[in-house]
Amino acid sequence: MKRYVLIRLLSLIPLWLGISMLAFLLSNLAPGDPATVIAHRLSDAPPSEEQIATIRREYHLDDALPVRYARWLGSAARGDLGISYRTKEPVLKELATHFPATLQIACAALVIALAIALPLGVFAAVRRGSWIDHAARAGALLGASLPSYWLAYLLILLFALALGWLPVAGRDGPGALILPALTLGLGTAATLARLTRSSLLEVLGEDFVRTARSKGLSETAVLCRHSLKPALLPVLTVTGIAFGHLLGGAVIVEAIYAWPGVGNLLINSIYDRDYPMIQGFVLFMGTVFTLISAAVDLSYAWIDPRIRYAKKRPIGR
Amino acid sequence: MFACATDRQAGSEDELIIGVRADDYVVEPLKSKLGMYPLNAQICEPLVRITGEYGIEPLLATRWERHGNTWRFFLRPNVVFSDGQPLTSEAVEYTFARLVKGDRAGIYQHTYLGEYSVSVVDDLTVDLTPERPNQHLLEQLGHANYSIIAPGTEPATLPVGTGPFKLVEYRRGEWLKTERNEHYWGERPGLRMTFRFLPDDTTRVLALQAGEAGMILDVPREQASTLRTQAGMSVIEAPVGRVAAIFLNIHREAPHDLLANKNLRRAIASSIDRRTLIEKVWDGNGELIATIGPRAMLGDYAGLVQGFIIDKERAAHLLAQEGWLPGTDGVRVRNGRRLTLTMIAWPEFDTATLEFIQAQLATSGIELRIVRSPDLASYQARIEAGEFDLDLEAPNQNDANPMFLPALRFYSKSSSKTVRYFAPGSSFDAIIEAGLATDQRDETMRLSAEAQRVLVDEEAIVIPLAGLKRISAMRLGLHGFSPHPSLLNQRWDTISTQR
Repeated sequence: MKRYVLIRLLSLIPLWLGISMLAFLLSNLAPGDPATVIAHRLSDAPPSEEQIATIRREYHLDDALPVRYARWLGSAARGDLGISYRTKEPVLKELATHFPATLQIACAALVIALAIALPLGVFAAVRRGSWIDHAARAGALLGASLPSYWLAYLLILLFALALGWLPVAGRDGPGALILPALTLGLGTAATLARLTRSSLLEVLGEDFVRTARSKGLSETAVLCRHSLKPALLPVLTVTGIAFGHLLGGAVIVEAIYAWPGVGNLLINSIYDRDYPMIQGFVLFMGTVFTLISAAVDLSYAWIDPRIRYAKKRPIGR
Repeated sequence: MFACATDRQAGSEDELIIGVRADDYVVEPLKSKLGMYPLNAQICEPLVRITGEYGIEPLLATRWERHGNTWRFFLRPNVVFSDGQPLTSEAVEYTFARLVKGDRAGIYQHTYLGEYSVSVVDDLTVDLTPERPNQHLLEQLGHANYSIIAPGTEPATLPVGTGPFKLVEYRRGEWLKTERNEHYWGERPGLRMTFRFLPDDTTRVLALQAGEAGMILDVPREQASTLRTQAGMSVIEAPVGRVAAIFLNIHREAPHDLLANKNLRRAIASSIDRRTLIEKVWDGNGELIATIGPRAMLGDYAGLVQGFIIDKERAAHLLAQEGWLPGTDGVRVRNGRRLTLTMIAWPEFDTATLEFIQAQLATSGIELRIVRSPDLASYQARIEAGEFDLDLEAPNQNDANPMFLPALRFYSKSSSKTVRYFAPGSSFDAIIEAGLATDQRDETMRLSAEAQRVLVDEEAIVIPLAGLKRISAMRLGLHGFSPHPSLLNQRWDTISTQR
């Protein structure tokens, strides 16, 4: 197990390097010059070439791309992601300020998704072919198909305007969390519900389940004691990945609900070509995502010992 | 709070929540524009104010005199900052010293104010001497960027001004809350303002409808008509503060060299039905206009600029005259070259607007390739690289200088990076130079109108499409809101719940 953990953690290093390079290249190769954007933000009149050149020098934007990458990577390795062009605050500090808000909706969305998906998936599998199964599958398909921005407006119209129960936007009070979390969570719920159903159906057809039934166990006992745990293993993996997606994919939802998370921060940074912030965001979210994946893999290996890396044996022995 | 329409929100009755676009304040020591630009919350005030007709009226300076290139300002007596400090010449000196110090990039060079430009005469008298002759300093000083701040304060931490409001709390990207300034020298405002940043247009409208905001700014055109029909809502259009116009690239470098031909430019101008654009595409939210900026900037001289009317026959004639003949697919051809042009546009213009222009030009046999920019940065990259034939913009007029736009965008000696694509040449420059040299406002207006006549009627370098009106919406029960054509100069202190 220790060896597996070590190998899994070491495999993150090249992944991080890849993410860092991708983050750097993507932000730097996008059309648009941060110096021009900065100059425009400081004055409402178009800036001159001299003004832009001054800003370029100030931010070392004239240095060659590999030099800038090496400098940034070196700092990042020491935990310094640079200073935001837009806010002049350290990138890490900005991420630390905004990440809790994103974490909050991602966690709430995951809770909502699991609360809907697990009972729905189990029920649909157990009552396979019934109207409940059909309704659950149709609901899951609908949930997976609805674009989040459309769903967001629909939920606002219903819960904020028609019923007046929840606020339209902002982060004031616990009520403000519900709509963004619901918007994010419903799509994930649809995916997880379909997976739970198919996984449980597969397990219910296994020999050991047949054996359990032949021993005279009740359907509830067969389901709860023998079938659910193995059926939920793939769900656990996908839940981990989905959580990563919820963290990184809250951009549109945050913009609609004016939720002050990293998604909103990223949008503004992209508009302003705030390279340090974009790079920092991608690296940070990439790290979070890979750590979640690693944690899920490790927990998977802990739950199912067959998954651990076996010691290689010489051929022929 | 006034914004409260449902029982779920609590608050005092004297607060107005205004839903505004994304937070774009620069909050950086020495450069901070918090509470001033691009959203002026009236926390700080400049020396003069720009009226709704783009005139100048006293604000912190009650009067001024000019001696050569030196402007002497007489400050309003008995004015105190919100922290209790009195307004003296020292504050003016402190403000401009900070601006110049924080301006390594030379942003303030438009005013030519430098390190030694401010001279204190006495407690309430101060001289401003630009480093180069500047006849239009007064008109520039009405811009919120030149708001006077209390000595020893830093707006990045807390903007301290003399305005009717003082800052209570700023949470980046969420809100800017103000309180009435109890030291204010003028009439105290009826309400305290909270500006909520709601970047999504639809969310802003929904927030108004749900009662979470008492007023919203920048209502999308397509939603204004819906709001107009709703009970309890009032939709207000500001006078024209900017003009949507197509700027034509007249430089001669291939592949964007075709519009160096004046007849081709005129043919384009004669091909676009602006009235239909306003009425059908923009739901009537626009105004036919011939000038490139608000007509109010030109006074009685605005009539000097005739503008264009749709005339497809004239367009066809002009194109045929230049040898552009209809090809097999309807697109005109000359010597084997198709009449294909590229248009870029500010991201704020929707697809319907761009496709309307495309369709209009198609009827004259001009193929238009639209290159959409997802944000301003990518648009800037394209325009600075000259990768366009037509450029759709809607530039702002935020100060009171009538020469501002013609000089900035078309004068060959302008500091603007894109001027090389639009500058008509020396005779036009002479008009601009005369306009910049005169200190007579009437003459400046006349010369600005003359410059615009050259740009629009004579050279067809700019095709004004329509005057744009900022649309605001509010719940009934608010009074005293007088929309300013320039959002930057909007007053909030006049709004109250009393008639």
